[in-house]
Amino acid sequence: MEHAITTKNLAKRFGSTHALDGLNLQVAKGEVHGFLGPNGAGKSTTIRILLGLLRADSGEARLLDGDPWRDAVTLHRRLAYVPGDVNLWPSLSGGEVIDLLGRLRGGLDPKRRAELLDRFDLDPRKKGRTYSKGNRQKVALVAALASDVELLLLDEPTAGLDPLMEAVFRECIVEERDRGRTVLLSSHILSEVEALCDRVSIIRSGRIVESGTLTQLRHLTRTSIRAELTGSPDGIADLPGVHDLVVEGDRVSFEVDTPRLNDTLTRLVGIGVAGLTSRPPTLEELFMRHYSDDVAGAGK
Amino acid sequence: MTSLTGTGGLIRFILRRDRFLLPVWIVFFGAIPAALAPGITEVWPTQADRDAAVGLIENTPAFTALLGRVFDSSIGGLVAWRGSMMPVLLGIVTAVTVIRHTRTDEEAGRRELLGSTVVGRQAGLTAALVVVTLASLATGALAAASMIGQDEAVAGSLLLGAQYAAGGVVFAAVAAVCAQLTRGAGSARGMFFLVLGAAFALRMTGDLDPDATWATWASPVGWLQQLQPYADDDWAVLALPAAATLLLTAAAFLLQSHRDVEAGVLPTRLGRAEAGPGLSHPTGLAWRLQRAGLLGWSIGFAALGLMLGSMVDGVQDMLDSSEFMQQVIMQMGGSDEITEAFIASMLGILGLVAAGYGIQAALKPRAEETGLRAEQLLATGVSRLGWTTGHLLFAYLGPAVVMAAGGVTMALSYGAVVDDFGTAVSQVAAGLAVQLPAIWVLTGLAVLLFGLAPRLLGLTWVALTLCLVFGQLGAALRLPQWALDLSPFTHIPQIPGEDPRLTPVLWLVGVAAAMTVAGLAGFRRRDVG
Repeated sequence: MEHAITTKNLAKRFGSTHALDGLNLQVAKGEVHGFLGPNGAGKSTTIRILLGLLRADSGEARLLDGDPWRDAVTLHRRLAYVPGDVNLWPSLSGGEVIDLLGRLRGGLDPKRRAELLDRFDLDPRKKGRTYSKGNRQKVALVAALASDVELLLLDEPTAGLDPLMEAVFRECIVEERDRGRTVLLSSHILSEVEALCDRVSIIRSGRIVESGTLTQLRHLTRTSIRAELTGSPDGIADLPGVHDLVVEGDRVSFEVDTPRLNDTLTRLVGIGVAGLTSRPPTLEELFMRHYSDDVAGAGK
Repeated sequence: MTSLTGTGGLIRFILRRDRFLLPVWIVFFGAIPAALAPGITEVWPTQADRDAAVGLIENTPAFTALLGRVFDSSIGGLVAWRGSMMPVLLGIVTAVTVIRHTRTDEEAGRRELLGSTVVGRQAGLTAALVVVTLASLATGALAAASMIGQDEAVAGSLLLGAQYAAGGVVFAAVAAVCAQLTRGAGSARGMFFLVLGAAFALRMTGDLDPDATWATWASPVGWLQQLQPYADDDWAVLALPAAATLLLTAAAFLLQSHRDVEAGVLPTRLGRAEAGPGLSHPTGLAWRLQRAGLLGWSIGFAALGLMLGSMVDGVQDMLDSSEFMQQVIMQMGGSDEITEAFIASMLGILGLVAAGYGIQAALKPRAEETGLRAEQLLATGVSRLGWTTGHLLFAYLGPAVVMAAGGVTMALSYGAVVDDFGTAVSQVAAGLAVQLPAIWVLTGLAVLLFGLAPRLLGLTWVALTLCLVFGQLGAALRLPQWALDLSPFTHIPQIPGEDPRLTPVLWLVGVAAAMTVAGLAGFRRRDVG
């Protein structure tokens, strides 16, 4: 598999804080990769190292087969970046900023620009200082999406968008993937990542703690089961991998480690099943499991 | 008075934020009069010496233009004259402080955050004005007390203190109005300096032209001077700054109650939907961001040059009318020399002010960086050097442009007076040209700090202030030569008048170039943001 981004043991300190502590991230070409973590986990630091704005203390980073620090300028013509906090020049109009950033990346498609302005419902004549946060975000998004680039680095790009515009953003990302572009989407909005991303990396305290497709990641967690049984529910509690069992007459609900799902269902069928609903684990549960350790750890 | 709810809390908040800065400037300005007194006693020990000095000062137009008229030959009177810029400089400090705590906070969205809590609409402005007023009064009290401590006349010392306090308060009120008119803190500061420049120019005109005393009375700077501490002790004049302060403050409150948070009174217009061809490279963007400032400074310099050049007329009248000066002039080698010395010292002032422009332009990249706008550009196909170069063009060539604007009008008006355009143009051009290397040293310092220690960039303003203080007060404060030598402006020849010496000028260019190269090399290696 060809990689658009690889980092090996990337480390970066700010004073005594370890922002990145041996980060290994891999993003394949042509995929939409979710970069998931709460505020302060190191997402923006990673992206800023990939952009050559920050210099890593140690470790290795490769971006589109180049060195992000040394080859910054040539690499930047092949990518577009949308920061989480878009600040515009107060005296420049949104349209001027879009054109400026597009030209500095090597040109943008005027048809696509017009189409995106329309879809995001953005007035390009307003001055930077008069835009709301969401509209500033749209300016940077239109500039990035209308540029002819291979890679999009998006750092919490929907932070200020309303639900309607978030839907437009999702459509656009799907279109980008269909064009074969690679997207690194940093976010803490789980539903967004779940809806858009082929693969996900979860970052915690400057390290990747989990990485893979959603199916692979789900495999690591539990499935919720509710069942109406025709026989006695005795013995279910003793099955390996079953947690949080609640029995109400002939109804049971519990969670089961996903690798144990098959054994558990076989046992349920043995008892006799009148009704069954199962729900796959959400990314949120996965995420909370990784971070609830943090909360527990902080309590110690 | 619900619009003032929360003022007390905001005052404590400002005191907390400025807990280092506030005491520093109170003590600095409060101590200046007492620091000047020993120097004056040393240079002119007897009353006869001081009387002669006043005679000389009164007939030296360059002194009158810069520092205003001298009203009394006592030590106190000379201290008040020598330090007459200080109440105005105090006013700049209070004005900048008011804008920082009102419009800057508002522009950054911090006021919105505070405004959503239990804080009244007028509380922020009131708190800022209360703090600078108290600080100005403290400065004045310190100045008065220290002069009384040196056995100077009590009434005069108290009025001198009142002069400092009035300077701080009246210009804070001007700034309070400016902060209501524009959306951006930068434009509010620009508007304030325009008003201050006009006030200063009116004071100069009134002092140099006996037919234009109205100009003195039209200027807040003139009012401060007309208090005449240690001479007439004209307490009644205090009514002028007091009334102006009340009127301006009322206007600021009125404007504030009629506008939205984060809006200005002056309207903002729609821009272009698409970028023009210029916005395709970082230098084009730098031009867009810096052109308004360059234009404003150029217009200001053109006006200043016109005024300074035409003053030569009043200068020559003054020389012709005084028998005492006729003798002095004969000894010094003729009236041409006096005129030339006047022109040279005015060009020196232009140079220092133009250095302020150079520094401001050189600080722009850092503002772009901390405002998180630079990272968007540096994430495109723009190199760090390419991005910085656009702004540095303004930092290095901008001072030449604004000085040229002032030089042209100065040479024309001066040439018209002496009826010799050729000499006027060549003298002014040479006098301004030698200022550039000294300006570049300060610009170079800004670039050096930007590359190697961006958090310390504010020191560049400290350096400019020191150059100003050393140049204007260095001798009076009896500073040692090595301290004076720290200012690049000490090393450039006085033109017209002195022979153009090339060696120090080349040294300054070399130092500026070395600092620039080191700063840029540092910026290429450091983290952005």
